[in-house]
Amino acid sequence: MMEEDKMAEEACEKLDFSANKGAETGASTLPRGEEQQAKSCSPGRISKLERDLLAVVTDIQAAADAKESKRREELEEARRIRSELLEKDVKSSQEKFEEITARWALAEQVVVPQELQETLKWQQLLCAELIEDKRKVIKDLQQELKRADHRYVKDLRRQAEELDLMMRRSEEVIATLTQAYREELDHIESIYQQEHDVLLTKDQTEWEQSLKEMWDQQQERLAERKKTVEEYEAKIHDLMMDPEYKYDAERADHFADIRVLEREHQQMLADSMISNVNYIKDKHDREIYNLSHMKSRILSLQTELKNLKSTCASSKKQSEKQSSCLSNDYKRSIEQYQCVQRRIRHFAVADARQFEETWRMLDKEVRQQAEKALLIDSIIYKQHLGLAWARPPGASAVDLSGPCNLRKRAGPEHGGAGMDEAAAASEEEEEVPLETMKELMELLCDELDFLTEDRLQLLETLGKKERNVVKLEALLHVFGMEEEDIPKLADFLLKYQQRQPAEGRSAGPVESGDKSQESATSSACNPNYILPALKDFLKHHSRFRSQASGQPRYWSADMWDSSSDEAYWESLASVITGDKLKVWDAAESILKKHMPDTWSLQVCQIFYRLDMAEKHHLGGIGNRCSINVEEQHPSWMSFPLTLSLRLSLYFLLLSVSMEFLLQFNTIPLDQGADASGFCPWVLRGLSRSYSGVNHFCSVLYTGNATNKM
Amino acid sequence: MSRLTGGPTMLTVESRRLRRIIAENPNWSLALVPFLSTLCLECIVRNFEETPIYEELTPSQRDFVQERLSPSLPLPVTANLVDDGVYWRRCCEQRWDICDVSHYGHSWKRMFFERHLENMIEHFIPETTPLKTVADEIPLCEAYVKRLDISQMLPPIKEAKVGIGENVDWLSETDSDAAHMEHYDFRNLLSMLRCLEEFHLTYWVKQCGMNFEWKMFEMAERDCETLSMALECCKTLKVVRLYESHIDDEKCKLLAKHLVEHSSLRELNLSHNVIGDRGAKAVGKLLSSSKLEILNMSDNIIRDVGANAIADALSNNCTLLSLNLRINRVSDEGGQAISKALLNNSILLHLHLGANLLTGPTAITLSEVLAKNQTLKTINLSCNKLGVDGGKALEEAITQNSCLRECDVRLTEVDEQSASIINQVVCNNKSASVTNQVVCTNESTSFINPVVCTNESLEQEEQPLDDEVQPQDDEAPSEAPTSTNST
Repeated sequence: MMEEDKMAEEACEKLDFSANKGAETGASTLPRGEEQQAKSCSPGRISKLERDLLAVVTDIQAAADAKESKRREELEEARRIRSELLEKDVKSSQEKFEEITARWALAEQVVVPQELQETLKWQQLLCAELIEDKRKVIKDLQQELKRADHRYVKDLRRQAEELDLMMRRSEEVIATLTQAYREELDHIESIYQQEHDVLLTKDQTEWEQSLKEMWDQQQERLAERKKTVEEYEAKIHDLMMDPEYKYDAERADHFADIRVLEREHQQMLADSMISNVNYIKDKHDREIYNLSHMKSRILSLQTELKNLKSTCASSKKQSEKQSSCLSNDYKRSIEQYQCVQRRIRHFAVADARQFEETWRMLDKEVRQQAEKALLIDSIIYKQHLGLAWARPPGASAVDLSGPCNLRKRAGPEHGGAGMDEAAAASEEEEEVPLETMKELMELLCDELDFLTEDRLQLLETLGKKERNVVKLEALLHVFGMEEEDIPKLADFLLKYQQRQPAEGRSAGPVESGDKSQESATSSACNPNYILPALKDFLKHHSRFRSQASGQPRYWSADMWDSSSDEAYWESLASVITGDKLKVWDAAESILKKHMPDTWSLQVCQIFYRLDMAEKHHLGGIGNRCSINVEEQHPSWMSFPLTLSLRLSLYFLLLSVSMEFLLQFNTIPLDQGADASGFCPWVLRGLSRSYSGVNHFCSVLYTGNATNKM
Repeated sequence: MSRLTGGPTMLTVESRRLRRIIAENPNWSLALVPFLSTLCLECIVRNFEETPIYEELTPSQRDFVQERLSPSLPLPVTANLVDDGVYWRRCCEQRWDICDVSHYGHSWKRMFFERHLENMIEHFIPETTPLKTVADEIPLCEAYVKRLDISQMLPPIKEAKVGIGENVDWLSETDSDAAHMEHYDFRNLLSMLRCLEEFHLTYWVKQCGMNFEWKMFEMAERDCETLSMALECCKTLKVVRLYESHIDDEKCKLLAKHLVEHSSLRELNLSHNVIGDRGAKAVGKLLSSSKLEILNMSDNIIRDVGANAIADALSNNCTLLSLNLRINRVSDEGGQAISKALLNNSILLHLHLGANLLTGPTAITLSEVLAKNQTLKTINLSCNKLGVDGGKALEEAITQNSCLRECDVRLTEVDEQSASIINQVVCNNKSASVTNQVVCTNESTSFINPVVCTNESLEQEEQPLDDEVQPQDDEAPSEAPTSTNST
């Protein structure tokens, strides 16, 4: 048993040792081998390492297990052997015990003490043997127990050792594993580092490469660009230079052409000059010839001049004589004129008086006629028709208004006595044409330079028109005149001019006025008359001015209430109304039957025509109508009532024409620029009306004359 | 801020409105004045025993209180009031030097109460310690104890016997004292602990010194009765470990009888006992009727009869994943029976038959099984005398198997060459599975229940792995040299 135990132990130890050794060697060699394999397959290595190291530890457990099972086997074996031994022992001891018990029965039979003693001894021996056996067995068992104890202790020790070993190995395993893990980690890290490095280097190289490529590309592009730039520059240069060259060439060509042309031109010039020279020479020759001819003529003319001078001197003397004679004539004509004026004034006063008288007379007559007509009317009514007659309202008005009108009209007629010719002329201003006016103004400016000379030195630079305008202004300022007076001045000048040549003539103012009107428009003024005329005008102007404000005019509109006049006459005319006329007509027709009378018919006609004339006059053609009346029916002039009727008619017309005049006068003349354009028209209109009046006046005169005669 | 700077330096314009504080002590500062809330909390801490105020506090205040509460406060005050946190950590660290909280699900409170209860039980002396001491603790611990790992059960004190003498025959003594060797009765405790899941128990006396008695390291019959009843009562139990407690066949039968009806038990560990064939038979019955997943019967004395019983159970059982029969007396008959049982079993993953009496025939039958079985992951045949032939047979079988990850054939008298081949094949299988697992986890596929997977993997023989069903897995077996040969 001991040997077996030992054997088993040894085997176990061997196994353990071998395992241990193997494990140790494995553990020791592994890392070295691992390091070599490290780079080939790390995960496998780690797992293998783990497994191997685990095996190193578990080997102990396995060994322990094996030992345990072996121990159990051994224990079982030992138990079996022990039990066999014990059984054997039990058997032998049983036999011995049986033998002893058998001997006890034998001993009972033995009576002999010696035998008994002998048997007892034998028994004793046997018992001792038995006890010895038992003791031996016990001793064996005790020894076994001791051995088992010993072995238990050993086992314990061994197990402790194993535990120690296991712990140690575990620690080793932990250490190696940690180291391995660390290595692994390092390895992984290094691999990652490497990968990282590789990637980095790769990326870097790629980067560099791409950079380089880009750089190259950029360079290439730059080079290309440079090249193109150069090309373009060259092109630009070419383009710039090309035209220049062309221009130069063309210029050179042009120069050449020009030179050629110049040369040609010069040649031509020379040619022409030569021809000219030749021509001039010819001309000169001819002129020389002419000159000689002329000289001879000059001589003849000089002689003629002498003759003429002598004649001139003689004619001068003659003209002086003439002029003195003419001045005398002039004086005389002035006197004549003044006389005529006086006469005219006188006539005018007389006319006025006559007019008044005539008017009164006419009025009276008309009243009487009206009264007569009314009477007739009343007679017709009362006697013929047998009706009650009432005096019509118009008839009563005739009585009232008549003296009133007369008184009113008497005022102005008294004042108008002291009016002179100039005032009359100014009243009847005529329309002066614009051109004439302009001419006059220019003339005025030219002639009266001396008045404004000191001031208008600087005006030389200006245009003619402006200069004239400025000069005119200055002149007006000097004269103390307004611009409105210009037409007056012009008119005056013209009149003056016309008057001067007409001085000598003894014709009436009416004719001369007519003529002057025509001549003024056509001919320009004589500069010689300007200065005296202006002097005259200024004189008149100042006087006129003072007069204009103070004295009432002769034919003033305020004085002559034509409308009332007209109404008056109308009222008188309409004393017998249309109805009454009809009544009359009826009465006449009845009467005619009784007394056919052509005279009354004529009266009726005249009245009718009078009405017509009035109507025509209102249409603005009164003068023509009146003339027509006069021309067509000269027969009614011989009518006993002619004078009064005529007068009434004339005054009617006169009043109308005067109305015209006043209308024109009322048109404002202070309209500046329009004045020059407007004035001639006004003047013309005035003259026309005036002439109309004159005409009527003449007719009146003739009528008077015929009446007187 | 002015409050903190305080003292004589407080002469700012703003401070004029406030009451000026001029301290006579130059070192005085307002910072030294504690907050009123702090004072209150300190007061709460001081008077915690009389008036425990904890629920009403805010989390930060709770932390403050936990930091300051005395660990020596009576447990009835704190146990159900103070939640898991710094306080229990302080309690644990005060009581024990080594505190591995990860072992207790990272719960200091659980650790405290488990260890506290273990301590109470381990130092419970029957008939001397009043039962009340443990019973009082139960309502405090019941909600927190998930595992009890009791490494010592003190026997009752035998004053009279000790005084008699030392040279008393121990055989006679054990017989006479058997009735008296009753330990703590677990029935009350286990029925009270609501969430107990693991129960580790060994009838062992630490540091017995010269008072050594075999009886000290034994579970008495009465103990077994009470314990089995207690285990039956505790319905939440999942793991039961009864090791080094000298459990013999009778006790084993008694335990098995009571555990048959247990619905939640998943792991049973009866290692380092003296269970023989009859006990093994009882365990076999238990296996066939319960839902045990892990059975550890290592270091017993099970022989062929017991092994046959277990093999029968194994061929019918469909829940057992791991079977450990290390250091038993199973010989070829039992080994062959277990091997054959594996033919019908497609659940078992781990089989440990190390340190038995198996020899060549078992190896041959096992190799026949291994060639067909595609579920077994690890097999341990170490310390069996399989012999060279058996080794060769195994080698051939294993080369056809692509599932086996571990095959321990150390100290089996197998030819070194075949052993190395076996190791290599197994290693390849393992690495393949590992890479597959890596691939699998990389692809973040869901981890499917291994049991289901094994069924599927049997149907697909090309599929070497039991825990992943992946069409991409075809790459993995192609890497293994054996995969092409497999059926």
